[in-house]
Amino acid sequence: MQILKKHLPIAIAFLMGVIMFITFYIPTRMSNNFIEDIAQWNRIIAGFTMFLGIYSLLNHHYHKLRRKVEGWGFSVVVYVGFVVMAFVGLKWGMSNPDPTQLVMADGTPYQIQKQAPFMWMYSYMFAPMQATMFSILAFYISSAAYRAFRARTREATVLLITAIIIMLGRVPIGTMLIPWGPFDGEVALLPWLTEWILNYPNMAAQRGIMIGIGLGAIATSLRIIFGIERTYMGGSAE
Amino acid sequence: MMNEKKNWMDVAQQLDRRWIFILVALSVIIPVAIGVSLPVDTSPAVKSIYDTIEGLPEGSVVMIVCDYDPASEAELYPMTLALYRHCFDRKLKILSWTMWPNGAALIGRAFDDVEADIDPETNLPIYDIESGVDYINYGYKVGGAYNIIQAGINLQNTFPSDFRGNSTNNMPIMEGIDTLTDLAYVIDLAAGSTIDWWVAYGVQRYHFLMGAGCTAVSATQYYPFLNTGQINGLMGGLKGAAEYEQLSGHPGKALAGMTAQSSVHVLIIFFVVISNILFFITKKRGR
Repeated sequence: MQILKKHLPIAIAFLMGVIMFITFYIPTRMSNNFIEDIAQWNRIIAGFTMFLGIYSLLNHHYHKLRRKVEGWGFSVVVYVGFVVMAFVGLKWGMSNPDPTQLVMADGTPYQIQKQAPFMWMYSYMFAPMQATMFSILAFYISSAAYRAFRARTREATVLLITAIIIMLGRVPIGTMLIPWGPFDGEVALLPWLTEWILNYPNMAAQRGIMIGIGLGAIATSLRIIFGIERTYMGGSAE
Repeated sequence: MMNEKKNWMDVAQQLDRRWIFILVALSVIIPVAIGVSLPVDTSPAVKSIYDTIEGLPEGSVVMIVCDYDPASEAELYPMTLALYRHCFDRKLKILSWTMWPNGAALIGRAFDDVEADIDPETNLPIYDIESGVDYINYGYKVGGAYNIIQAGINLQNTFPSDFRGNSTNNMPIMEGIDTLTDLAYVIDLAAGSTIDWWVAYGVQRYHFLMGAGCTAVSATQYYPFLNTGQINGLMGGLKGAAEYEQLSGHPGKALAGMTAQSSVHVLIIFFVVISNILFFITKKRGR
């Protein structure tokens, strides 16, 4: 069991890690063919993980329903949404094959494609609900800005001033408030300041973060390839 | 008198957040209802994408990747429409797909919206476009970054069929297009981290011209790519979309939304200023 649970996954990770590294940097016909095969395998495995995700989601909500935990009604909504969308999609498909023929006022014929029931539900139920969830952020950000965005320290004051410049510089009202600016007034002050902040201080900081993330990713990858990092197999690092 | 002032300060500092929510809602609803649109300043990063598309020869094939779902539709869908319309104005061909499962239907809707554009003078469709000839909607492609690596080796094997399951093998649009490097331009409109994938596994490996569009919150993180030339242009959030709509002469929802965004930004700044004034008054009194 130790071989199956420990040694085999480490051996697979090592082999695949080394082979992928070599194929990425030596693009011969053989390595390209190998990458294409791996891409197909990747798609097949990713497809199966979707089943795992569906099982995990439904199982989670099944337990919530069985125990009648607080908010179990939302689990009913998950089940109803899942079953109805899957049924409609499987029964009528995603597209309506028969377009409706119409005639314009000048006699020109044209056709419109009526939405299939699945797409109708996507467009008029799923999409607005998901967009609503995201748009709620604007309300919470406003409330948080009122309660927490204070110039308590020097750093917080710099952040606050920068935020105000960017917020005004990114909307037309910023140009309306201060229409004059550098380069003989070619650009308004606030949009120019916004671009400068994004292109210099922001870019420098982001580059530093990016290099840090890159080095971290390389270190973690090497630890996985050489079997030092084993948490991906489940359990502790030991 | 002092007590009254203190009470007033307390009320202002502990303002019920529902009042804030109502003010935010009104600052969005009123400008949208009035329908005033304000002109926007064009940034060099957006102009660069516009200029690249303007400079492409007729018949060139452009890949527009729509890596977002309805949650980011407000910012990225207007970008998609503006890009599609500009490309079709310039008689360019489009290959479109997504790495987000919930984004596939939005691509279909975008092509439908553009096909349904009617010229008010002639009362006829503006764009005479056909799937497989002028564009392909590949739909959702599972596999993430591997799709980019494979498309750089063999585009046909990566996308053997379109959104409706039709084989792309003999589609006229694919003539002479074997890999990513055969494309005139690639643009990734992303709500997540797919721009990083495109730069790392696409641009750096295969060396093709790329531009990007993203939500406003993530725009700041892509300036290093812009600075190094790994992407030649960047559209950030609704403002980026509005700039592109203005440049391409297709005013849409992004330009219309800039007034609402202006008023909400001003409202948030007002909240921040007021809360800081109250904070400093309280601090001074505490001393």
